[in-house]
Amino acid sequence: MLFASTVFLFIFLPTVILAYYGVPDQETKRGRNLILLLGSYVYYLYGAAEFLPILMASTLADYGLAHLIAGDPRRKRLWLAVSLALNLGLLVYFKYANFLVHEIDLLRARSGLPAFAWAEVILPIGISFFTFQKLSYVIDVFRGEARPLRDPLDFALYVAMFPQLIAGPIVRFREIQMQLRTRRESLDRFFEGLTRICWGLAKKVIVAESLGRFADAVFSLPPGAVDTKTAWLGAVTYTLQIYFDFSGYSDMAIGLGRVFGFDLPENFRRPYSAVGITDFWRRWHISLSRWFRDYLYIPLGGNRRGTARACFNMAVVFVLCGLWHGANWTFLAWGVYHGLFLIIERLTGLRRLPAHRWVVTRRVATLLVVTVGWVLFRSADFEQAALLLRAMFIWTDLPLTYELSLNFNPWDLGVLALAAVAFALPAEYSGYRGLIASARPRPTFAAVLLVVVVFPLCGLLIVSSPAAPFIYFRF
Amino acid sequence: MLKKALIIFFLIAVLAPIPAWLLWGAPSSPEMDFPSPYNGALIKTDYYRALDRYINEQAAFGGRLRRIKNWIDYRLWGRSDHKDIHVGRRGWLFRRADIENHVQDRCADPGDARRRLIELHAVEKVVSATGRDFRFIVVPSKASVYPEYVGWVPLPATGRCSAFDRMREADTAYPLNAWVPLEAAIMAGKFGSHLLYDPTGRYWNGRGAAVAAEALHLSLFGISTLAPVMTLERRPNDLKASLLGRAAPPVKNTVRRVEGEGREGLGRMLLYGDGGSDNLLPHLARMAMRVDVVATETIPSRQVAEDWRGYDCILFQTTEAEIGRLRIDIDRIYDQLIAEADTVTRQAVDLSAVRAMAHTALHTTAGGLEIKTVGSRSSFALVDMPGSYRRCFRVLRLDLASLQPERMTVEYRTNPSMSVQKFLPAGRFDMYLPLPVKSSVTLHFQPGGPAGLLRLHGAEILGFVSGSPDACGRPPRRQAPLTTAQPAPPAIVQADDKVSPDEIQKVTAVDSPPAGPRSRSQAGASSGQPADGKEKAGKTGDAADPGAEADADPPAVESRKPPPAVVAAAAPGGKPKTPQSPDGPADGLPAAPAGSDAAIEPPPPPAAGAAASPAITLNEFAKGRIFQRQGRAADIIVSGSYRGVFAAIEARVIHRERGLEVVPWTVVDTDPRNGIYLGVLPQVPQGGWYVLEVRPRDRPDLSVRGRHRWGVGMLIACIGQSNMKEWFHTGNDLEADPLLRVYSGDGWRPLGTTGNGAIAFGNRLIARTGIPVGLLEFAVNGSGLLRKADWGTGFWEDTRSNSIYRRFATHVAGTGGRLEFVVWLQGAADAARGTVSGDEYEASLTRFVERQVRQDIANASSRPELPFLVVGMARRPGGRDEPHQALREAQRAVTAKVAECYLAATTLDLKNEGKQHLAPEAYTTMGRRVAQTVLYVLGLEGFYRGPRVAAIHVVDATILEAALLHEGGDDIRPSAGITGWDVVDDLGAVPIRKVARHDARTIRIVLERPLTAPAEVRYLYGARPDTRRALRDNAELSLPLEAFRGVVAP
Repeated sequence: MLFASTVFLFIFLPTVILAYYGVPDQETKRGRNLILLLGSYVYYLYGAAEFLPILMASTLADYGLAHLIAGDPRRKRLWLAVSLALNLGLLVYFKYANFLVHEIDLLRARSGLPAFAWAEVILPIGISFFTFQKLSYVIDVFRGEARPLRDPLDFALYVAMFPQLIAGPIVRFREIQMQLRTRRESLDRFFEGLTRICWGLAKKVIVAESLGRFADAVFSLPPGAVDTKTAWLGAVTYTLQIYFDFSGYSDMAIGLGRVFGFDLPENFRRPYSAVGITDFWRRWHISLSRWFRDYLYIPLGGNRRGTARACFNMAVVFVLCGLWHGANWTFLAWGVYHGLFLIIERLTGLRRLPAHRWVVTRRVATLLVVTVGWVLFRSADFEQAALLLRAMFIWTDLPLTYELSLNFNPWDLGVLALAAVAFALPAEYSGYRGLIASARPRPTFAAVLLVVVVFPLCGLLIVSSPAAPFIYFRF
Repeated sequence: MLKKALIIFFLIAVLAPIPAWLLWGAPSSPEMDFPSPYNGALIKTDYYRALDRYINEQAAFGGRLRRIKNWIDYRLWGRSDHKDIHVGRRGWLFRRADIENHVQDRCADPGDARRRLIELHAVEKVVSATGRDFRFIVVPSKASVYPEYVGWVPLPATGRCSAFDRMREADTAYPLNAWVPLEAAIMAGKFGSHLLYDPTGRYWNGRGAAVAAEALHLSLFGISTLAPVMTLERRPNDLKASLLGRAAPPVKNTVRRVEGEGREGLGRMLLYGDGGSDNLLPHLARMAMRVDVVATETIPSRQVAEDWRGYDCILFQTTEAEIGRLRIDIDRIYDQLIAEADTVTRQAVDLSAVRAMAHTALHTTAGGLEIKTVGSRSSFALVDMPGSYRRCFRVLRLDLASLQPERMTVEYRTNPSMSVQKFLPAGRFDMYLPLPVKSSVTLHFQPGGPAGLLRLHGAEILGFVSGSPDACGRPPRRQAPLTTAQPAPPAIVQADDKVSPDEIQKVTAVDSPPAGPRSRSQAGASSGQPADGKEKAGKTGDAADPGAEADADPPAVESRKPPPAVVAAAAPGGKPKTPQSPDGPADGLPAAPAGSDAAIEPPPPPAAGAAASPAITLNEFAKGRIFQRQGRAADIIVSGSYRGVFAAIEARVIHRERGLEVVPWTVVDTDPRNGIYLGVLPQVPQGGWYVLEVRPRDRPDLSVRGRHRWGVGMLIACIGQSNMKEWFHTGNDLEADPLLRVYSGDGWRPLGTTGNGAIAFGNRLIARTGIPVGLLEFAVNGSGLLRKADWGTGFWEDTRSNSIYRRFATHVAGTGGRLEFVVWLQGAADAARGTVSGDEYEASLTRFVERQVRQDIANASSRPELPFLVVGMARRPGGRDEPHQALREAQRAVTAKVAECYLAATTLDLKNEGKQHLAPEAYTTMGRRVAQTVLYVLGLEGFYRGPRVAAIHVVDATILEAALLHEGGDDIRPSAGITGWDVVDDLGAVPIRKVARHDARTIRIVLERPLTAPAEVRYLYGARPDTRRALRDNAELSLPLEAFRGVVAP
């Protein structure tokens, strides 16, 4: 079930809201939590019915293991290992088994050996996200930074809460622990949530969809039809598309959380205003980079064991980060690519430069590096990536194809121009959030516009031509 | 306060659609009915996907919201998501195909254009020679006439080189008189005061058509129209309606007739046209007494089967974008008209002009030239034919006979890109090949099958003169007869032939023959041959000349373009003298299926330097192949290659498991030549599995036995849509008999345990007949019968080269072109959304059976026509009753009126668990029922239908009795609580109190209220009748009571 879909917006969401607020508020929030949990399971059932038992079973397993970790200090490492094996085993199996078998088969074919008899495994949606979320809980309990939840329903809700179940943000347990029982809903928070939902919806349905048409048209061109301007057009539009798509989804997730009283962590902070790759990763998919920092980079030693070790740790983190996004060599290459630049910034000291020094140059350079990385990320394989990158940096000039020219209309070009503003925003611009924040006693004109005009427009667009899935849903 | 208001607004916005849908829901759409939950549905993602589709469809309020969005996109932003429509400037709309043709950067094949043009010349000449008129017009595309409204589109870097441009280029070299150019007239008319194309129209409007009609009139009659016919009739804005979603894309009627005025004295006109001819028709109707319009991809149309002899004028109309898809069946046109062509000259062609090129042996007999071809690379040539020139257009006619259906590529050596594919039927037929404008033309013929036997009875060149009557009088250049002194023609076997080791038998140990002079010529030509037709020099029939040296390794063949991948044998019409030209050139046709015989190449020659000892190899059949029997046996073509000198090759058949000889040693080739042998092993009895063994008659020690099993039995095609496909994929409850095979284009594979329907069907047939059964699986999910029921996966009436039907027919040809039965399970796609009416489906299915299937597939049954078994549509999970009932009745009507058409099985009572497809056990039942029908047709069973309602009697005002006729059983069950009956009178549905068995032949229906008016009594009516306790007889098969509908009066 997509957020930007008819069934979610006009059936599921109002039903859950009515059911949630129809239950009397309790001190422990148990009733409302139960409603949310049931709604979340229905949400997951709708999109991946066959895998709901896996979600539930693994949730139950981690609930039990966390208690064992907390209750059996002598063997807590063992229980942690079991939990890691279980969670990562599931993730590796569902996400990487097909890829591994395929690659092994290729090697075997070169040696004249027959392929394995292998039935393709289907990837359960959201597995990357809820696996990391559960690991965060178990590790926090292991570290003593959190106590295991007594009520299994609370834990199940933490894992499966529908606003962030499928594509994050990855909520660390300690960020939400108290909110499970002690959050407070209010009119202001509800309003803030719904304006955030409308804002995210607009980013997805209006901006990302339009940009996606450009990007898809370029990435589906035959090799001989891609020239320099076309390649750059595809790269830039995809750079914008993935930002608006993913941040739009995150906005909706955060907004939905607010509607039910939760404060979910921010996931984006003007990433295209970054002044370096290190800064970029503090602004892009913040929850994922923090997870990797807290649960992989720091346990590996972080930067406490010298530069060489820090570089090694960073390389490991970003290799895994690339692989986390998908079972494809291009994702791995993208991770390695970013890791390499992070290492370069560390070794050259660039990351320590004050934010205001050489801002324009640094921002342009960062944007360039990130854009090239997105080409790797989006390409189906290295061949396509090489083709596009070559076209980007070696001048060629061909006529635009007809298929691409179809997007050159006032609407799509206007959206592209508007979206490109994201490249030029100040690093700490908080404008739009301020416009719609609940801190103001009266809603701003922007907020009214969002709810009264933009939301119905988005609804019309969704109903009349259902939107493509969020890009990050596939991870 | 404002926040609260906005929150309420938001909640209303998200809640309001639900009651709105309930109150003003989208019109009921059978295809989009609410997906009923079935067992386990709630844990199946597929169910939620279906639910999602339903909600998305309903949410658009029948498309109203979609239309609003489309209008906004079109009007405000000048864009559209419609994949077929381009939005230009100022609201102008164009067909996207026209734009792509206008700006394409990829050039069309000039050879294709030349071929098409030469075919048009051939048509023009033969039509003119019969005193008729022929004209060809191309409707300029709107984008060509009004490029200023197209908007910004990238222009091609290389200049226009569309199919239309290529044809114009070709035309400049050898102008087609019949081609009426319209561009100049249209462009001149453009600058008049009126638009010739409406801004949102698909084609030209009435004014545009009037300009074209003017040009056509001038061409036909030499004068302009007496009165300008400028109809102001405006065609509907069909592109805009399509873009906004208000109208479905226009559906081409296959044929329509317009009665005309015939003001110019023109009799009947046959117009091949598409939508571009709509506005032209009023003008044509003024010229001609009658205009018959046929919309077809191939001219002449196979579905309509129009006879050109009934017309005075033939007009081809196409568009710039579609000209590349124009297909002309020269053979059928010439077959119809050539007898009436008075002015054609005829010059016989000496058959010595035929050369064997590769894997081919020629043999002159009293009846003509016998051409044996082995392997897909076989070819022969007709060399040095005189080509056409301006005053004499030449067409080569070949009087051919083929042992089996074949697909042949004919390549013009001087114009390789002009190659054409021909379907050759089994039997005798004429093939016509227009000769291009060249002084000398050489034609290469590439049969493409694993083995073929053609007989060329004769050849002649037809000359159509213009100008001097004797312009075509010069005889064709004679070929110098080949003598042994001439250099050896190309060898048969190429040294670099690649052969799969699995498919070629190793040669058994051989002796080195004594050295001596060459014992036979390598010549492929027949000229200069001895009177007995044999071209061997110094070779006696019985014993090799002891002095003869063994054949040296043949020289390499001349370099030539490898033949395109072609299917082993095509499926042309089954009748002699009516070869079907293909619907397309070589491209787009399926290649030789892997695992088919065509994939098997003749064995390689011995390696250079190896001892040149006699040897023989066998062309193996595909593993598990089943040959269709004719009667109780089949004639099998045996072929292979050899080295040495042999008088004859003989073959025998051995039962694979038992090792017993089924067919004793029989001579198959009495005159093997050129290293290949080919012949027919007659009357191989039905059965299997067999293996084949061959040997030279005079060298029994050189026998070679095949390894692949094969058999002779029944071939049955299973076609239709998804429920037919699920026969082969649903259920693992049964195990297939070892004699059962399925063929779907990639080899003959055993069924194993998957596919309850197919296994149940095949097993029952095998159990009763004891012979192999081959099921040809070519059903396509979601496929319709009519074009308007094409939901994206094709429709069966489509005969284009890449259509599902063409693929099916081509693969049938690959199995030999003969079938014993065809099973058809289809209809849901046409019934969806009430798209196709019962009458349309009935007419279409009748045409499909009679003009497609029975034309393309030879009847191997003992019945007068190829039996066509219709399986009634299954019960639907949802949907409107009327469309499904109408199509069900249409199917029954077809089975009632078309000969050898049977309603094979009622399936309404079978379990489908609320889904569109049936439960596994339902397929088993269906398979057995259809098998029963086959056995009935074979005369092995006495019945195939279940009980039927013979009559309904009114006992009293509240009691009706249905009298039953039994077939296989003699009683019915259940005896009470029977469901599936409806009684409807003028007050509506009459409540039924109970339905029960009265006796073995009577059902009693007790109504809740008395009937006061005539009422319709129905059993198993509609899309989803209540079949929980449907009636069945007590026979072993438990066949259901057939659906019924009748009227009773109180």
